[in-house]
Parts: sequence; C-alpha cells; structure tokens
Amino acid sequence: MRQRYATCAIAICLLSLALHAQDSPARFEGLPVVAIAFDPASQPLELADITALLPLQQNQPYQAAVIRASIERLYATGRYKDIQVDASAVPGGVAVRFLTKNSWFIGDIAVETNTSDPPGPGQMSSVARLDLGMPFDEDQLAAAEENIRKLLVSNGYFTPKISHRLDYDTAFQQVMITFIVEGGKRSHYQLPVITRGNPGETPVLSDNAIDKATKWHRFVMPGYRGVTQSRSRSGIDNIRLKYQNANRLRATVALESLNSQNPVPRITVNPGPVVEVKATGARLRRNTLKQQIPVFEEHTVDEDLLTEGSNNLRDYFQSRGYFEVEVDYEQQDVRNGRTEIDYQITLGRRHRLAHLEITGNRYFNTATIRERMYLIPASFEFRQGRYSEASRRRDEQTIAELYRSNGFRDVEVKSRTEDNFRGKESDFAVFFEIAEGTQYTVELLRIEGVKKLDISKTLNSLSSQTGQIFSEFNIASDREAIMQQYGEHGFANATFDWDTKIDAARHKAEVTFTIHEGEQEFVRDVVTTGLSTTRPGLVSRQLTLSAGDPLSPGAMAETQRRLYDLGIFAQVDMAVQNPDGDENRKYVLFNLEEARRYSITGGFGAEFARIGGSNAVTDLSDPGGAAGFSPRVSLDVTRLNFLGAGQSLSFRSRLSTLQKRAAVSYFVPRVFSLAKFDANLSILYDDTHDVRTFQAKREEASAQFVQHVSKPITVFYRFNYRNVGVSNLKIDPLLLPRLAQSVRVGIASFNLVQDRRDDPVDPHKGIYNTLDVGWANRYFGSQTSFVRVLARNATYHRIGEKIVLARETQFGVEPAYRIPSNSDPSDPIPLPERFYGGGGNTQRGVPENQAGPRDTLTGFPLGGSALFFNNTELRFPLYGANINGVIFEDAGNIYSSLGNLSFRYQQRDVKDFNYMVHAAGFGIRYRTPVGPLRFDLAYSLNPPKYNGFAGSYVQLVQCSVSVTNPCQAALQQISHFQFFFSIGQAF
Amino acid sequence: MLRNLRNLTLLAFLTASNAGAVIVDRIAISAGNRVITASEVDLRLRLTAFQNGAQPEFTLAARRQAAERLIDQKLVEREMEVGHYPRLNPEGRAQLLQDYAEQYTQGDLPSLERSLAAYGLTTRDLEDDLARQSDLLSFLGLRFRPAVQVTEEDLQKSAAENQVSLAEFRARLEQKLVAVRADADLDAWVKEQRKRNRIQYLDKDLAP
Repeated sequence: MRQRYATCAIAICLLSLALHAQDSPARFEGLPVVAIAFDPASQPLELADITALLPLQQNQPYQAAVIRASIERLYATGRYKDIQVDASAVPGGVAVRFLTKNSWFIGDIAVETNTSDPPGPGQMSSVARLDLGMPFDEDQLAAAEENIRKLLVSNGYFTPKISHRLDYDTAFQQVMITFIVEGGKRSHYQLPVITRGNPGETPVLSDNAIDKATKWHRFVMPGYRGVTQSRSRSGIDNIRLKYQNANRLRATVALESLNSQNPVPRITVNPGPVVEVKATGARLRRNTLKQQIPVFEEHTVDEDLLTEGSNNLRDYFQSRGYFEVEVDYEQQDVRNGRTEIDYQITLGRRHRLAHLEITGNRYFNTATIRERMYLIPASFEFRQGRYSEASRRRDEQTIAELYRSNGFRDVEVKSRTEDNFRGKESDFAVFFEIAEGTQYTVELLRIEGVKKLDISKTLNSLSSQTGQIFSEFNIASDREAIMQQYGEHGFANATFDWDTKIDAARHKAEVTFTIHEGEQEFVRDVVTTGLSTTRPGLVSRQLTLSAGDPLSPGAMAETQRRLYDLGIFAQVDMAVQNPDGDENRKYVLFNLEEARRYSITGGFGAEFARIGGSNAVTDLSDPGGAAGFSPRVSLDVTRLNFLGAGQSLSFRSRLSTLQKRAAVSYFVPRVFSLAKFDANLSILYDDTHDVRTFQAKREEASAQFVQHVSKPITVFYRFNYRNVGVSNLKIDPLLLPRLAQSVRVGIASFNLVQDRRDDPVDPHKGIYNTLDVGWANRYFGSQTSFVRVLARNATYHRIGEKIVLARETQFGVEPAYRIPSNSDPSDPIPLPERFYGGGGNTQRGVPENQAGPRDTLTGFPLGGSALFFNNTELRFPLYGANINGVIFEDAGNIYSSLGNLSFRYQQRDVKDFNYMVHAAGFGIRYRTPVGPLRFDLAYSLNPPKYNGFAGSYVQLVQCSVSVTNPCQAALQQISHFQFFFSIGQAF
Repeated sequence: MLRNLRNLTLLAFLTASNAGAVIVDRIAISAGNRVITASEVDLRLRLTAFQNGAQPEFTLAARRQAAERLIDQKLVEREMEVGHYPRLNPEGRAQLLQDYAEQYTQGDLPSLERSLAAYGLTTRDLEDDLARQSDLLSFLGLRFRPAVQVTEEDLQKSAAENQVSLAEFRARLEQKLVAVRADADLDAWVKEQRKRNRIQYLDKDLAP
C-alpha cells in the first residue's frame, strides 16, 4: 500500500514536470485564450479601463506579439512598475495571468523639524524637488535629503540628521513623504579670515573694514549673528559694494562654503585695479553715468558691457536732443594698479524734433500709428522731442509689423530726416513714407482633424475665415483660440499645424489648419490632502471639477483660486497625477497647507498735523487746531479657520491720544454656500476725539453682507445699530441740552463700489466710484430719522509715461425727516452723525474735520448735512524711483444743508460757512512696500474766519447767560498754511 | 510513515497544478514610458541573425547589444508618435515584404515562411521589422536631413579625400555627406534622449 502511494506520488511529479517541460511559451501560440486574470486582483486601473485598452482579448488566439503589446500598453499607462505574464494550458485553450507591481506617485511632502527659520519647512520641501503627482522612486529620496542637508548647512545647521517616513495611500497610489530633520543648534559667524589676492599691495579695505561690511555682527550686543544663506550672500555683496565705491569694479569676493569642517568664514578678496569710468565731452552726473554704464551693476568690466554703455549713452543724449551724438570709449591698460575707461562724447548740435510726418497711410489713421512709435515731436513733456537713430529704425519696423499683422505682406516703410526744418537751425524733421501695398485675404480656410470635439462656435469666430485678412498674427490668435478649447476640454496633447499657399499675384492665400486631437483626458477623481482642522465639506464646495469631467487646466486653476480666496490656506498645490502616463482618466490632486490659525499683529504709528491744541474743558483756545502729535499703537488678534469652517474671528484694537477703539468681528466667507456672498458681524466700542468739538463714545453692533458682483464691482449691505454719546462739548452752552444727549441710531445702508484702478494703493489709471445710501428710521430702532447719501467719483489719467492726473469729486447729503421737537432746528442730525470734512483726504485747506459750519460762540466745528469736495492732483516723479511729487488743488466744504451748498468764493461774514474753500499746495510721496508715505503742505486761499472765545468753558457758561457781561468774541481764522503727514495717497 | 506518504502525495498534486503556469514574457527594460520585454530582445536577436544569414546568438553580450539597440528604437518611436511623423501604411508594409521576398526567395513566400520558421519567426515579424526600418529612414529624412548643411568647402574636401572629381561626383558626394551628418545628428539626439528619459534595467543582466 505504501509502495503504491509512493509510486503514485512520484508518477504525478514526473508527469507534471514533463508537462511543465512541454509548456514553453511557443506551445501556446494560436490556442484560444480562455481566461485573463490579474494578480493582485485589485489593480490600479478599473477593470473596464483595462479591458478597453488591453490588446489581448478573451476567446482570441494567443499570440506572443499580442502579449508583448499588452505589456507595453499597460506599462504606458504609467500605473505599473513591473509586469510579468504567465500562461498555463487549461481545457479549451490557455489561461493568461498578468502579475503586476504598482508604481507610486508623490503626494504630500511634509517636513518635521526642530530648526527655526530659515530655512522654513516650506523651503525644505521645495529643495527636495519631489513634485506632486510625479512618479516616485525610493532612489529619489537620497538626492532629496542631500538637497535638504545642503540647505541646512548653508543656513548654519552644520550637522543635521535627516530621515524620512513613507506612508502609502493605496487607494490613490500616493506616497506621503515626511522628512524628519534634527538640525541641532544654528552656528554663528566668527571673525572672518581674509585671504588677499594681492598680498604685497596695501589693502584697499582693512580686515576690520571687511568684517564690518559683512554686517554679521549683532546689533549693539557683542558677538556674531546666526549663519543664514541670505546673510552670507548679502555679506559678500556688501563687501563687493565697498570695493565698487572705491572704484574697484573688477573686485572679486568669494566666501568658502561654511560647514562643520570649515566653520570659520574664509573670504578671499581680490580688489583688482582701480577702474575709473569717466565721460568727457559732455556734462553727465555721476549717478546718470552709473545708470547708463552696466559695468557698475554687473560688477565686472568686459567689452560687451562697455559697448552696451556706449549705446546707452548715445540713446540717452539723443533723447535729449543731441541727435548727432557720437559715443566711443577707450580703455587704458592697467598701470600702477589703475585703469581708466574714458567715454568720449561728441554731442554735436542740439536739435529739436520739430516735426514728425507720416504719409501714405490709408488703412490706419495717423494717431493709431503714432501711439505705437517711440519718436515724439517736441511737446510740453518732451521739450526737445524724442529721437534716436536706432529708434527711427525700430519705428519703421514697428509700423511695418502693424501692417503685416493686418494682411499687408508687401508693405514698405521708409523714413528720412530733414535738418534745419523750415529754416530753423536747431529744428529737425522726420518723414515716414508708407507704401501699404495690397492687403492679402484668405481665399479658402480648410480645417482638418476635428473629429472628437465640437468647436464649431470657435471655428465660426476665427480671424482667418474666408474673406478675412490673411496674416500670421491672425493665425497665431486662431491657434490660441482653438488650442484653448481643446485644452479646456481635456485634450492636453492636441497639436495644431498650419500651412498656406500664397498667390502673390492675386494677393490671396489658402490656409489649412491641421489639428491632431490626441486622446481626451477625464478626471478620474479629485483627491485633496493636507487637511487637519478644516472641514472637508468646505473644501469640496470650492471644487469646480468632479469625476468624469474633462480634465481642464482652467477649472483646476479656478479651484485653486477659490481655495486661496478662503484665506485659510498658506499654500494650495495642484497637479495631475501621472501626467505623462498614457491613460485617459487621471486623478487631480490638491495638496493643501493650512495657514497658522492664530495671527497677532501689532503696530505703531503717529499722526502729525493740526490735531493738537487744548483738549481740556477749561480751555477753549485753538478751535482751528494747533500742531499736534498723536502716537498710536494697535493690536489685532485673528483666529482663522474657526471651527474648521473657513470663518475668522478677530479682535482689533487701537489706542492713541485721540482714540480708543476695540472691535470684535466674525467673518463668514461664502455665506449660505453662496460663492459671491460674504458676511461680517461685529461689535465695537469707540471713544474718539477726532472732531475737536466733542468727545464721542460709541457702542455699536453691525451686520454686513458683501456681494462680489464682478471683479470691479462689490456691493455692501449693512445694518448698524449704535448708541452714541457726546461729552466735553465745546459749543454754545444754550445748545447743550439739545446736542449733548446720547442718541440711538439704527441705520440700514447699501454701498456700491466700482473699482477699475490699475493699483488700489497707488493708481495710475482707471476709475473708482462709490455710492453709499443709508436710511435711519424708527423701525430700525433709531431715535433720529434721516437719509444719508454719499457719492464719490475718482479718475486717474496717465500723461506721458510717468505723470498722472488724478481727480476726485465727493458729494453727500443727509436730509432729516420726522424731526423731534428737541432737535437743533438748524441741523437736526445728531452731532456725531453729521458730515465732517477737512484734512488730508478731503480739503487740505483746513485741518482735520474742521470744514464747514462752526459754533457761533466758541468757533468749534459742528459738521453739516451736505458736503462737496473736489480734489485735483498732478503726480510726477521727483527724484529717483521712489520719490514723487504732487501739486494739488482742493475745493469744497461741509455745508449746513443741501440748500446752502454754494460755489461762492467769498465768506460773507464770520457766521457764514456755506462757501467754497480753495487750497493749493505741494506734496512729496515716498514709495514704501505698504504704500506711499505722504507729506502735504497746503496754502488755503480763503480759510474761514470765525468767532472764538478766549477763556475757559466755565467763563463761557457764565457770560452766555449774563446780560451785563456778555461773552466777548475773539475773531480767529484758520491758518493759511496746513500740513499733513500720513501713509497712502490722498485718494 | 503513512503521514509522510500523504504529504508527499499532496506535494505532488500541488506541483502538478502550479507546474502548468510558465512566465511567457516580462519587462526587461523601461525607457521613459516605453518598455522592452524579454521576448522582444529575443525577437531582435532572431531577426538580426535571420537578416545576416547567421545562427542566432543568445549570449549575454549579444542580448545586451540587442537591448541597447532596442532602447534607441523605442526613443525614436516615441518621438515619431509625439511628433506625428508619417508611418508606413499597410499597403506599404505589404509591398516591403513582397520586395524582400522578390530579392531573397524569388518571390516565393512559402519558402520565405519556412526560412523564417527555422529562426522561430513569422512573416509578420519580418514585415514589422522592415516597416520599422523604413519609418526610421523617413524620420531621419524629415527630422535631421533638412537641417544638414553642406558647404562647397565640405564637398571639395570630400572629393579630395575620395580622390574623385568633384564635378563628376558632386551629387553622390553631397548625398553621402548629408547622410553621414544626419546619422551623426541622430546619434547625438539619441544620446540626449537617453539622458532625459529614465532608463531602468529590470533585468539586471542586461544593464551595461
């Protein structure tokens, strides 16, 4: 029995081995494929996709070539790292099995580090050069860690320990890579060791001077600062600058890499010869010479740079009327450590481009051609005109290109000059003669290759239609239009070729567009990573792509923009996973880095203007304001992404001698999931003395909805409920009972903003309009009823290249209705709710909030119910790139009512304030990253005169009720000169 | 003892069932998103041997050489696909095979098939190879030849080197120079493509 068992087993083994020996691949050739399987069963592609792309099909004959093609096809998808195929004979044919190994793709890159910035985790992720969505191989990690290591070493972490952790996401074939960095302590600079390239010579800069130039020393305290890459770079640049200032333009300064073996900075300096660059034959400021000759900027001297300097100088002088200028340079050999570069300028006669004429143009008018030209005849802005030989040639080319891009292939443009134009020796004329030729048109447009995508709308609006102008420019724009359509619909590999047959005799062209559409790609799924506190729903509501959509780069970019707009992500990276893979459904990846949830901002500032003068109750001097200084501090704390819903809670406070304010607000973006609506709820406490007449305390709650109608148009819907109390009133005591009462105001308002400026901080062109309409009514809980309308229109126009003409007009009216009996009949609006004006942003002829009606006894401003201001500014460069000048004229005032609005220049008497104040002045703007620093000096042509009271408030009260000793008025006037200092343009 | 016999039997059955599956093909090399399978290397060796009228060599050195040629071939094929270079149509392929048969077997296709079968090849394999060569020549002509410039000086130098009259042999000299330079440009291009594309030797034996 046992023997039979053994024999049987051995026989089966032998038989199987024999069968195995016979199962060589060639035996399967031609047999029907009975089954196709995959190992593992879970594949990176869906079964339907695999079936569609696999050349091998069930019930088809087995062919080695088909197996090979199947492997190629699967691998080309990019989803596989390795593929083997085995086959076995089964009843009826052959069973084929694909044995696969997945590839992986890069997902989130994170860095966990104990080092302080720099470098930050973001910087370290960036130098790792592991791009989201790209194929991942473990070999890449070594190079990535080396890059991070180099970055850390260059930032003073000389002995970092770097390791990594990989987390595999099998669902989306992603690998999340976390680099763990232990940097240790940052090294500090030390006293540098200086090696000199010319040891025998007297040093240009001493070791001490070089050490100081690096600015590696701590500020005030002894010792050196920590090593960082940017400090090392700027240290070397500073040393080089020192040499440059000593005319050592060829100085070389090099720092040996700092690392653990070499912690002491070793700087090698070679000052090179003294290079003196001078210009003879013409007066030229040193700064201008430095700007025109690029050797200064490039810190080296070579032929190309010197030649460029010649050309720059030539253009410079030609643009100033020296049209015949010749510029040559001569470089002397180095003698005694010195070399001179002498630019010899022969100016020639100064000319004026008096006349510029263009003839032969019929298709384009002269204005259209002129606006594209560099040459400009003499004008207010260009006293000598603008001309250079090179520019004349360029303008010929420009005009010719303009014509060619509009089908005039045979256009010829010539120009000539005429000296002593109209007998005047210094005058010069240029004549452009245009021979347009015949315009070429498209006789026939053929479009081939459009099969999968319906782009008929695009095709119908092409510029190269039959009968239209034929030009390469039009073809380029047609190409862009067509390719954009394909790109937006997932045809990432579409290509566009074009061919033409030109009939020069008939001026016709046959155009053929050939489009290779390629395969259309779709979104397989949208994968977001990197969220920890943000609710996934908030992110998914921003997605403009979903599974099955065509893979559109535009939709991806729109999603990225919407995610950034939430304001809760520091970084939003997007990519298509496996971009080079040959598969038509791809994952779209968004890797999000949540911003730090808390931000704390502190600031300090100051205001210096006519805001001072006595605030004491006992002293009523200076109703017009004396020069004063008000320091200010602010503190803001914001909690972003509150509850993970993208909302923000913030606390803002400001403290100065004129104001104490605290506000808490809650911001909800995309409220009720409406993309264009945001909401803001806030409560506020404010104690301010910005109007010198009174101190106002305000407690307010408000709700605001913001509608982003379009890019330039925003609408605000607001409801405010506030309680305002006034104290320290400096007015006629008889008015106190009416005006001193606190008042509750409930006001609903609507504010429309249209902003078409090119730059909101410092605009150069565009328009800016606002309209604010508010309604205070008892139904809103208001104790006082009025309507407020305030409109503003500002326009900005360029004059020439650098001058801007800016103007702004403001108009406001505030009629009251249902007036209570205890209100001021002259102006029933409560004091704090009135219009106030005057100051740096409205009327620079009067101090801040000092425009308009005044108390007839004390002279302090009372505000009004109507306002009109018009400001005009001419903004121009003054000195260098950052200092601009402004001349301005302000006109306008606050009026007691709309009916009293007047353009009258003269003030009738000391009780009349309903006239138009005018002021003119000059300002300086210094450009900073946060906006221009502004200083304005204004001269008021007709400042208001008014009666003040020279005494204390107690004395005012006594004399106001006295018959025998009435109050004595002291005639005063707002000073003619006003000054303002702040940040930001006036408007 | 009985237990041991049972285990032996079980082992025999398992051996029998797994013994049926044989690896028929696998990836040997990947070049960018293209692959060269083991069977393709084998096929290359057979085709080369057939066209040379020699016995196929399956030594490691021969396989490595074939693999390197295939890498270059794949890079060119990908470029042709991306750049939409024209490929030979089915009629052209059939004509190539027919011409080959005319040249080597006096048009006797069955005889050609028998010769191919002796090398483990089919007429389809030969047709594919001939078409590939034709496409390569077409690619060379469209991509590299137009950029080749042959100056008068080059022709004079070539005539002198070949000791022939320039006037008489100008066209042939020019053709030869263009061909040589185009080939050199192709080689340089292939070298550049090898640097740009990741080439992985999954079959480590084939790695250089």
